[in-house]
Amino acid sequence: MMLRIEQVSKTFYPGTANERVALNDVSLHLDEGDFITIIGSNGAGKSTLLNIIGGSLSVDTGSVIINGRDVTRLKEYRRAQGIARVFQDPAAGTSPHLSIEENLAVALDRGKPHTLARGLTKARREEFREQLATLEQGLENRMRHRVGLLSGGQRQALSLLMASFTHPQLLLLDEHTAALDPERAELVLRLTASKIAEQGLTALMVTHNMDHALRLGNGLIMMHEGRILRSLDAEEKAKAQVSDLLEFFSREKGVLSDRTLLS
Amino acid sequence: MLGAIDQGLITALLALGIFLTFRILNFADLTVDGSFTTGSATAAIIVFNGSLNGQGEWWWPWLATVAGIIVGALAGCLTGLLHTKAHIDPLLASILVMLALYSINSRILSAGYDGVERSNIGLVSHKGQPIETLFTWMRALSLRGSLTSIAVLGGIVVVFVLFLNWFLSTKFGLAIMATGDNPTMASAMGVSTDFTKIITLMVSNGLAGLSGAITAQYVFASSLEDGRGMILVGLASVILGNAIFGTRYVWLMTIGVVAGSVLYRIAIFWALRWDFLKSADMKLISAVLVIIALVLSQWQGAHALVTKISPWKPKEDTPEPMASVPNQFSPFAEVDTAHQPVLRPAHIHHDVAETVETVETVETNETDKAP
Repeated sequence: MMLRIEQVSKTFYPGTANERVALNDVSLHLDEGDFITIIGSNGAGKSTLLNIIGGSLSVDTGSVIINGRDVTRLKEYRRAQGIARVFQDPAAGTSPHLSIEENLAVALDRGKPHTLARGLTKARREEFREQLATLEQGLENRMRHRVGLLSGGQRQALSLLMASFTHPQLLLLDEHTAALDPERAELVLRLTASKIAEQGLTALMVTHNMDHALRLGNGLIMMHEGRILRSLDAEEKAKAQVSDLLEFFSREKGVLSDRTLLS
Repeated sequence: MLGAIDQGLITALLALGIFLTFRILNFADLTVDGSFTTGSATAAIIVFNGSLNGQGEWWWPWLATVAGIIVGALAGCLTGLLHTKAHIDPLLASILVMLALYSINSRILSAGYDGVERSNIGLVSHKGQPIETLFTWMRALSLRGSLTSIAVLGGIVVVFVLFLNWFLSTKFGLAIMATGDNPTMASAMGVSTDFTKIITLMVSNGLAGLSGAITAQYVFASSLEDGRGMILVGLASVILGNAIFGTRYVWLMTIGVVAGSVLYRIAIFWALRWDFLKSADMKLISAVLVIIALVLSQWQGAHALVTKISPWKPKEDTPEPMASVPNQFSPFAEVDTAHQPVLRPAHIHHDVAETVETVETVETNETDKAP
């Protein structure tokens, strides 16, 4: 078992008027090589779930276990050794004032001690050039250019490369195509699929786009109001259509709101 | 004039420290006003005690200089701990340390072997006995403010410029730059941002302490008020240097900082030659110079002019100036974005609209963003 999330709950602003239950007793198991997509409405707790796995949020109760190791109380930068992330905001996952090669150098040292050895060597540059070429964005010829001046799609592609080329145990993708135009989103999605397949990564992808959620991965999770409503395995997923998901969601939502009314 | 260059080279060490915190770490660190004086007071009292109470061995001034670096670094460490562990805002944490250092500096200056309480100390001689500092030989030969002193001080500055460039080119240095530029990303990449911040503040304030220690020995005096306004002097040097030399490379920026510091001192020197101004007006001149530098660096014409008269033209693989990248974290954000349109993909708005459309059927009105 690669990732085990056991009965995790998280409430924001407890005891205030703004109290909001983001995750309610969520459990989730991932095997090595699994690529699970997560869909759900706004406020369903998808991003919270990813933030809790990544370590930027702490749990109220429950535990997160990666490769048999309980990381629930481990700080974000310590978890980064095994977990790589791509964020929704293209500006979040890269360092704007550093050049492409400097960003890649920081990414290459993920989870390793930051020593006083040279950050950029000739060998490393060669490796970066090869890796960048796989993005097909021409970035391999712009290695000294600053990332802040790249387009959103290029930055997301770079983020993806930075997250994946060190073979992380777990890759977390948090709506990483949401801020891109459809064409770029398609490109980044294609790169995502190929990087995950090439390296056999275990991955979780949050998305708003049901079509994307169905096309990629070998499993799908539907979340609503802090709970996992349903999870589809590879077989069910292959059969499912966007319309099925929508129908399911609206039915569940109706049931849920009835429940809320009655309680 | 040559004396002004000397002074500029000494404060260049401090300016390099300020460059590291303000520019690289994006940390508005005001500790330097205190740590400069701490370095100065510590060095002064060590050479004082060493020459008069000790045996006057040759190594006392060197010990004093190293001690200046160490106490400065300790002050920086304190600011770093207050910020990272006690979660106090950078500006407030550094002001607190600066304030606390005033009392500590007073204690240090009163730590002479004779037990006299002091708020300033002279280092030429005491009760007829000479005091030995790093620059006693220079003073004896009247070489302060000569090409010799410029060569010596310039040599020291070159060593630290090289050190800083090496430091920032290491894996740890890249981690520091990432921390300053995008802490979220640095943390997600496994960088302990607390650690990088503390170390950077230690290096920066260590440089401030060194600058203070050298100043005390060069002018043969130290006073509690020495550090007041040093943060402005350093900032002015950074802004001036970066405006002239540009921000394409780290090494160019560090050289710019040194040049900025020297130019700043020369400007003050010329201003003070004007009979109308007294030496007490120096703080006013400093403030005005900083304002001019800040305003000028925002003015597009100045950048166009620098680009035009610069003999050097960018090549294909030359990195863009750092200042051209918009950055919300930077204390120079206004300056940074002034001459460059904010680069945001124009399509982002209708794209978000479209995303919303796809999920409309499962919409609730809450936001998914965790606080």
